[in-house]
Amino acid sequence: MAPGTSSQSKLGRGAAGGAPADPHDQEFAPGPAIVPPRWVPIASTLICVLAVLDSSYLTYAHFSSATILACSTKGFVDCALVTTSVYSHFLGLPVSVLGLAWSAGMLVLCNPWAWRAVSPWVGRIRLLGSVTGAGMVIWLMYAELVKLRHLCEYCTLVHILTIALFIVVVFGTALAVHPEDELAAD
Amino acid sequence: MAGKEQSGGKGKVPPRPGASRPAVPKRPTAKAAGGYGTGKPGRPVPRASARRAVQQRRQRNLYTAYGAVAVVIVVIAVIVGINLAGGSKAKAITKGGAVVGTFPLTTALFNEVANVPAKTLIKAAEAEPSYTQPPDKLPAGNQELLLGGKPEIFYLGAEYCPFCAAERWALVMALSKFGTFHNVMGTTSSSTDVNPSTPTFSFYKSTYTSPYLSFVPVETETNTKATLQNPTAAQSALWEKWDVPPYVSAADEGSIPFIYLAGKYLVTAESYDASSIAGFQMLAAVSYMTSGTNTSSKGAEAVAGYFISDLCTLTHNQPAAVCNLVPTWLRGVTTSSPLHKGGSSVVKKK
Repeated sequence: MAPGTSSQSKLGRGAAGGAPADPHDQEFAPGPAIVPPRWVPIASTLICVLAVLDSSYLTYAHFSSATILACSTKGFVDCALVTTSVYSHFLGLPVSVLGLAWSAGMLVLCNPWAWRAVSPWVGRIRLLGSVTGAGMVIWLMYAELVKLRHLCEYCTLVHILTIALFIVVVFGTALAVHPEDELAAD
Repeated sequence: MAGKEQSGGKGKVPPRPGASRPAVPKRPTAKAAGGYGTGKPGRPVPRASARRAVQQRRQRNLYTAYGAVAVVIVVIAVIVGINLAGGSKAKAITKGGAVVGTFPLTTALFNEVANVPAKTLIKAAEAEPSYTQPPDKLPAGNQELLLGGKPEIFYLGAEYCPFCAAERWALVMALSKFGTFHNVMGTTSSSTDVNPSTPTFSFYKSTYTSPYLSFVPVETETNTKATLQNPTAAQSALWEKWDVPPYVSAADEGSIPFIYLAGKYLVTAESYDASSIAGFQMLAAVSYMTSGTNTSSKGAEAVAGYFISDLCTLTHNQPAAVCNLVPTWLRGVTTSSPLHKGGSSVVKKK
């Protein structure tokens, strides 16, 4: 059997259930651009799923009524105030909708299959997406804490998830093994 | 197999903890043919330097990751710190949680209200929301009130008055299209009245400069009902003459707010409901009232639009940049009934 055949099967690539017709072809089959630590795809997927759920609720709340948010009103935590403020829109679009679109996009980019993508662009876009998310969180936290001086707990949960995803993606990318480099070093 | 044996030898970079080694198909290399690493004389051996380069790059990536995360965390910490430190310069003196008197507003904060575009206000007025009331129209023969040759807008209210609090938001939005306010302070309505502690502006000791209009505000009392200003005899006469039925109900005779628009239009009660901002901090209220996304904000904007439409009539459509935005059917908009029953007197011609 050609070297690496059993490992390829574990990754779901290559000919399942039998040896390839031409072992030499398989040896040249393209591998993943990067291979992150095992916990990275799992953690990032989980974070994205939670972010999608939370931002879905905020989007639903935005288009139905801000008052359905089960928060206290008139205190420091006041979701209705935050989600109906001038900062609830960014470039003319509701922030909740942008958050949902971002979460869904990151879920696509952060699932285990995407982490094993052959194209290096998937990793670059994922990194760019996580940086964009962190930047947006900084802006929204500034709006909430400095401009509005009120917090929305549902928004804050998305913010925490976004920063957590940023950390996972950044470290996941930094710690990832680059198979091509490994080959060069071998 | 030869390739596998060689790549798995002692020269291989060990996998990092937690990292699953990539199951990468090995390509035939010079090693497999007895090339790299075989120690044959005359051939370069780049393995060690390549490994070093990989390790250095990993190290760099890791440092970059630490740096990026640290930057984000520091920025968030600064934002939280600003919040904990109080953040705004717009601080009020409070007693038992209620604002006492007035507090300064930053120019930027005030301008967020003053600079709501005229187009936005007029568009809000064109919708004529059912929860808003345009000013009353005074008899056509009533003498025009002028000051310095300009139509005079006389406002009579008090800082404690929650209905005056609502009207000031619309007045600031509207009058800022015709001139400039100075020294407007922040305050709240009384903490013990209806809509307690509604954040708003105080016109006490403020000035207003405009080439088109004169604005004369009188705030009679603070939000704890200490005396501030007394209207002049002429102002009292206007109030006594016009703040009566049919412009107000008999029970509300002599009430405030009282806004006399140069003898042509009149406001004798709040024109929209701002109760939703009762208890808000000023910063939050400014954002809420300028968002255009809630009933109070839409109400304030619509009423400001009514004011602009009426003021344009008084200024003979000056400034043109503002008044040209007002559709003909909206100019001089008033309620059909002095008692605010029946909505607008104008018929939309669209």
